[in-house]
Amino acid sequence: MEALKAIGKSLAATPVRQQEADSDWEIVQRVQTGDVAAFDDLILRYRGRVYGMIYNMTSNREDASDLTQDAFIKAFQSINRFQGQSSFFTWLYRIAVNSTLTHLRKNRLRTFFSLEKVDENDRPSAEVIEALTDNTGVERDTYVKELQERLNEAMQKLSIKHRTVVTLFEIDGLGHQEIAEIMNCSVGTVRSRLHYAKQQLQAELQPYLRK
Amino acid sequence: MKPESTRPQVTLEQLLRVKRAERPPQEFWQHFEREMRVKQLAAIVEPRPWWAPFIRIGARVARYQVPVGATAIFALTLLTVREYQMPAAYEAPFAPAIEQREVHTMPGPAVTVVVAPEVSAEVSAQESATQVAVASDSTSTQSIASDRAVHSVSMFGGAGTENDSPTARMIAANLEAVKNSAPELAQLINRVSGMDMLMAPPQKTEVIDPLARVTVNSDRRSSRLLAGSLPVASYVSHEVSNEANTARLSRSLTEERLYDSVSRFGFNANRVAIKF
Repeated sequence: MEALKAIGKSLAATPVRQQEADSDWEIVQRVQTGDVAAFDDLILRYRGRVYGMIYNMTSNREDASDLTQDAFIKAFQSINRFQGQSSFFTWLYRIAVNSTLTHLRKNRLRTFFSLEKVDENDRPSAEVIEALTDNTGVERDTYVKELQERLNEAMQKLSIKHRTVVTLFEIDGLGHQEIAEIMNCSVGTVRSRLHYAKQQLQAELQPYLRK
Repeated sequence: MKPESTRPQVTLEQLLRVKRAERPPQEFWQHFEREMRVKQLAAIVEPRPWWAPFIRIGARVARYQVPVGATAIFALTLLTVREYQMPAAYEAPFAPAIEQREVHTMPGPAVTVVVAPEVSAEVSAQESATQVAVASDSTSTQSIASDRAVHSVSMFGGAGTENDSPTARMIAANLEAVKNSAPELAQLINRVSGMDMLMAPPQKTEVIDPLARVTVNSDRRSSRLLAGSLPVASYVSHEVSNEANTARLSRSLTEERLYDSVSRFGFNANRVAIKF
């Protein structure tokens, strides 16, 4: 058991992730012993990331909100079965990804965008927008909205699996190994899917990219 | 948008950072927290469905899917093979003569049973079951109704029909020889093979007319109706016999008649009046 736990933890790439995993495991153990309120700490810690991941896969904030809640509820209900073989974060992400994939497969034909506003204070995105447009005020907002729609359209044109890989790698910043673990496939498959998805995205977003 | 010539170059990775910046406002999280709390409490209170343990068991079993499937197929195959072998096993006792390859010598007059090995090898178990001819009196053959018995008995007489196989004719010939030389042995063979039961005359059973078994309900019904007309009879159970009802009815009628006759007489001082 301890060996499996060690292997699972060793998969967490960085020391920061290692610390997170240790801290998560302590909280999980508290929840498993009956301290239900301790689960709120885990929700607070991961709700933003889980929501972001689901939102980027569905492009719908209402669906993302519901699916995030469902993922946390499922994790709460089966936390006694969590044995620490992987990090809690990976386990939670796997639940969320599976719920989202099920939802997307059920509603394959229904695509309805409900987009969040781009955070103006986020420096990297602000730099990209600055680079693309010199407009200000209302025109800039319109341009950002258009860009956002084009981005989401391009993402929705990808297949569910390719979209998941792109979301986890490019937007959430997870490693190949972690994605493979979450999606229950090999690292090679992850790389292959990522490569194909990027090609498709580049074709779709050509007007915004350098040649 | 900037003109293409002056636009700085942006990579796909940089472009996707814009999506990373799509974040919900702070108010969203307050609403999210409220809903989450409600759902969490509901999850604690909600009873688990009855099939929840099966899902857990199924998840554990899932890793052994291939061995379980292979075992199931193997078991099914065994079962099927055994099922097909069963009828042959049951019919085997009916074919002892086919297996017999030795020469049996009986005390007293010498009897030789000859069975051709090549013939016995050809005969299937089913064929032998129907064609085992057993010695019996030729007179009793007429009382047998079954076709099988007729067929077998015709073989026994040594005059097997042309439709019979060579094996059947050979068996019939052997049995004829046995019958002629040793009737006791023929009877023994009859008993062992169950042919004596087959050839025995059917037992005569006494025929009972079904109409004789039917009880007539008319007496019971009429007595019940009559008893129902009386006040006392309403408390009498239906199991009261016909005789009791009839007796009570006659008694009651007699008393009634007596009362009627008495009421016609009027006693008044020194005279008696009679009403008609």
